Amino acid sequence: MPIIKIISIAALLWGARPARAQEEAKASRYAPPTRSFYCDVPSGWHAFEEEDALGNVVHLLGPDSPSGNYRTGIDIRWVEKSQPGFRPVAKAIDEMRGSDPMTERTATGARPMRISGILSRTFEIQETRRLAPDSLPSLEEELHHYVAVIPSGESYYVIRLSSTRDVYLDYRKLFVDFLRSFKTANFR
Amino acid sequence: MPFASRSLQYLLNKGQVGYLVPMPRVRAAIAAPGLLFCLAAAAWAIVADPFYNTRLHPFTALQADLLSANHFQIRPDGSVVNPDGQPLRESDMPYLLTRLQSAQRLKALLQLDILLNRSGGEKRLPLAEKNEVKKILRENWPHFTWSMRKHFSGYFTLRELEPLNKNLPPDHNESPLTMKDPEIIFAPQAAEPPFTGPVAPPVAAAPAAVVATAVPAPAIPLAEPKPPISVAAVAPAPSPLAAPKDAGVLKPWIAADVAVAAAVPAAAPPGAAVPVSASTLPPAPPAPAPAKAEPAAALPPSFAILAARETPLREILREEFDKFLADAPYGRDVKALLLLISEKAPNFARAHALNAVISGLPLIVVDSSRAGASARGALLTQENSSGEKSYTIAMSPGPLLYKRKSLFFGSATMLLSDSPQVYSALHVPFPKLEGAKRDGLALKQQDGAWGQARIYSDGSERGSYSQQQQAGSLLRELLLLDAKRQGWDVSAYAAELFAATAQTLLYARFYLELKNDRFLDPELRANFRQWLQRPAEYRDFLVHSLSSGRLGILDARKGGPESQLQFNQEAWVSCPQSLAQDKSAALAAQQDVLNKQALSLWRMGLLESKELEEARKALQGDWLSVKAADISAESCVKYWQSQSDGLKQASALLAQMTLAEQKFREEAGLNGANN
Repeated sequence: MPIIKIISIAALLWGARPARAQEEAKASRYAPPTRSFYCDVPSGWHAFEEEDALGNVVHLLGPDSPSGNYRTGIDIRWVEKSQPGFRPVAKAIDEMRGSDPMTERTATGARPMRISGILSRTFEIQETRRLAPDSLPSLEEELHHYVAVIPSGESYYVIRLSSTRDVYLDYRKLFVDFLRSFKTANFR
Repeated sequence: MPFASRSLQYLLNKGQVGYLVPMPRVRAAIAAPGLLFCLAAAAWAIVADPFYNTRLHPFTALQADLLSANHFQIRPDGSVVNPDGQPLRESDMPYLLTRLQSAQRLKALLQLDILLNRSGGEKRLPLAEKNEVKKILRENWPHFTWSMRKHFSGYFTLRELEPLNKNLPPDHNESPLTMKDPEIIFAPQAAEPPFTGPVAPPVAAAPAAVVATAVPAPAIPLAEPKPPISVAAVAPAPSPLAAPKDAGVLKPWIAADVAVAAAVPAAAPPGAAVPVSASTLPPAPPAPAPAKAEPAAALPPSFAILAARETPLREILREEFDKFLADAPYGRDVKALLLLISEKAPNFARAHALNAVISGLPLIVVDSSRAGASARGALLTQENSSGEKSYTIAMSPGPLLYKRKSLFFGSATMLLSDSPQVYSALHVPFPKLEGAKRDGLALKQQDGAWGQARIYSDGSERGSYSQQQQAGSLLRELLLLDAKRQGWDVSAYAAELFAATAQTLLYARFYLELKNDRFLDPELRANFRQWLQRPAEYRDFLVHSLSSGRLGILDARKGGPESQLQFNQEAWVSCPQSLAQDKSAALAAQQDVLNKQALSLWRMGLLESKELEEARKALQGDWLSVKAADISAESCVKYWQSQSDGLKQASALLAQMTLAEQKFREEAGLNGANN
C-alpha cells in the first residue's frame, strides 16, 4: 500500500511537470540590439526598440484591452545622466508619483524591491484618459501603471507595465515575474 | 673620372673645340639628329605640360583657399609655387587638389572624432559641443563627399542647409554619375527561395540608407529593391509657384529609384535649395535592365505600393507661400489656418506640409460629417477611373458631445461622430441625438470645456475648436498627406508619430506665446501637458494607444520602421506565405477596428446588446465576402522589397524629428521630468 501511495504521488507530480515546463517555456529571453539588459518576454508579446527624444526605450506589446482602446504593454526606458532633462532618481520618483487633478492621477507609496540584485522602488499609478485618441467614438477610461525604478549608478531604468484598470490585476504576477527575469548587462 | 664629366671637360676645352671641326662628317651627321631630338623632346615637354598659369585656368575661391591654407603661393604672374618654391605644372594640379581636399576631409573627421570621443557620443551631445561640431562641418562642408554631407546633414535645419549646399562647387570631387552605391544583398537565411524565376541582380541604383545622426543605420543587409509596381502616374496639380516643367506630363515608367534621383535637379527651380532628403539624392547610375511595368492586378488594391514620386521637397519661403495663398482656392478660414502653419510650424515639418499643399492642392473643407470617425481632421483619398488620385482634408469645427449620467455621481462625456457613413459601415442605427442632426436647433450657446458649445434640447452639445488647435490638426493631416505622396507612409506608425510630434511642437509654440494651453480641448490639453511634464509617459502612451485594436496604426509584430525592415527581411525569405499571412492579419485588424467601434457605442449605452450582436454578424459577413487574391512568390518578394525605401525614409525622418524635438526642448527650457 505505501508503494501504491508513493506511485500515485509520483504520478501526480509527473502530471504537473509538463504543465510547469510548458509555462516556463512560454517566455522567451530577449535582449535589445543595444544589449543593455536581458529579460523574459511573455509568450505572445512583441518587442521592439526605438529611440526618441529622451533616449532608448524598449516596448513589449501584449494583448489588447477588452475595450480595444489601449494595448497592454511594458516599457523599459534607460535614463542616463548625460541626457537632456535628466532628473536624479529620487526626484524622478517623486515627480512620477505626483498627482494631477485634470487626469485624476494618483499614485501609491514607493515600496522597496530587490531587482537584479539592486535595491529598487516600485509603485502604482492610476489616471483617467480619453481613448481612443483622436478617434470617434471616444470616452474616458482609467489606466493603471505598475512602475519599477532600478538605479544603476546615477542613471536608472524605469520599467512600466500599462494597462486599462479593468484588467490590471491580471498582470500583477506577470509584472513581478518580469522584474525577476530582468537583468542588467553588468549584472553578476 | 666619370665619362660624362671627362667628355664635357674635353668638349669645353677650347683647344679641343677644334677637335670637332676635323671630325668626320658622318659622325656629325649621326650626332646632330640626336641632339635635335633631345632638344625637341625638351621643347615638347614644355609645350605638352606647361607650368600652371592661373590667368589661363583660374581657380575657384574654394580651390584658392585650399591652396593658400597649405602654403602654396599664387604669384601675380599666374604661376603656382609649392612650399618648396617649385612651380607646378598643369598635370600636377588635379592630383594635388584632390590630395589636398582629401587631407582637409581627414583633418575635419579627426577633429570631429576627438570632439565626439570627448563627449558622451554623437547621440548625447551637449549644446556647446554640438555648436562646435557644426562649426567644423560648416568650415569643411564643400570638401565633404556627398555621402558625408548626407550623414552630417542631420545637424542642420533645412534653412541652415540651404546656404551650405548653395556654395558647393558644380563639379565637386565626385561626379554623381560615377557614384556607385554599395551593393547590399538580401541574403536568404533558410532554404532556397520558393521560386526560381529570373531575378534582376541587386543593382546599386537606389541611394544608400538615409540615416541622420541620432539613429544608427540598421546593420541589416538588404537587397536594393526591384523597381516597384507603380500605380498610374499622378499628374501634379498646377501651381502658381515654380512648378516643374514637366508637371502633368505622363512619363514613361522607369525604375522608381532612378525616377527619384532624376527628378531632383531638373524639377527644382533655379536658386532654390534642395534640402538633403531621401527624395533629393543625386542621380544614381541607371539600372542596367529597367524592369517592365508589371500589371498591378496581381496584387489586391489594398496592397498598392509606392506611386511615382511627386515633385521633390524644397524649402518654401514665407513670402512665396503668402503669394500662393492669395490665389489659392481656399476659403478665408482655411487660409488663416495655412498662414498659421506657415508661420509657426516647426522647421523639420514645415517644408513637408507646405509642399503637400502646393504640389498636392488638396481640397480642404470644414465639415465634421466628412471627417467621419476622426475627431478633428481626416485625410480622404479619391481615385478616378484613370488612376489619378485627389485628396480631401476634412476638418471638424467641433465635437459632438453626449453626456451620460452615472447612477450616483457625475456624468461621462462621450464624443461621437455625426457622419451617417460611419454608422452604416458599422451596421448600427444613427444616434438619435439632436446635436447630430444637420438641421438641429440649439437651445442656447455657452462657453464650456469644449469651447463655445451649442446645447440642444436632449442635452447633447456641439463644441467648437479654437483656431490654434485646428491649425495643429490641419498640420497633422498635411503631413500624413505628404507621407502618402512621398511614399513613407509604409510605416503608418512613423507617419503618425511624425505628424503628432509636429502638431505638438506647434502647440508648444502657441503655448509659449500665449502662456497658457486653454486653446486646446480637454483631450489634447491632457496629452500636451503630459508631453510637457512627463514626455516619456506621453511617448509610451502613444505607443500603447496607436497599437490598440481601435486604431491599429502600430502593428505590434512589426514595431517601428527599423524593426519593420527586419520583419520584412524575414518575411521575404518565406514568400509567398508571409504576404498571405500579413494580408490576413491586416484584414483582421481592419475588422477589429470596426468591431471595437461598435463595442464602444454599446459601452456608451447608445446600442442595445441585440443591436451590437447584429452589427457583429453583419461585419463578419462583410469580411467573409472579401475574396483573397492569389499571390505569387514574385509579387510577394516585390512587395516586401518595395517597402525598403519608404521605411528608410521614415526612419531618417523620425531621426530628424527626434533631433528637432530635443533642440526645441533645450532652447525653450521645456525639459520637464523624464518620466
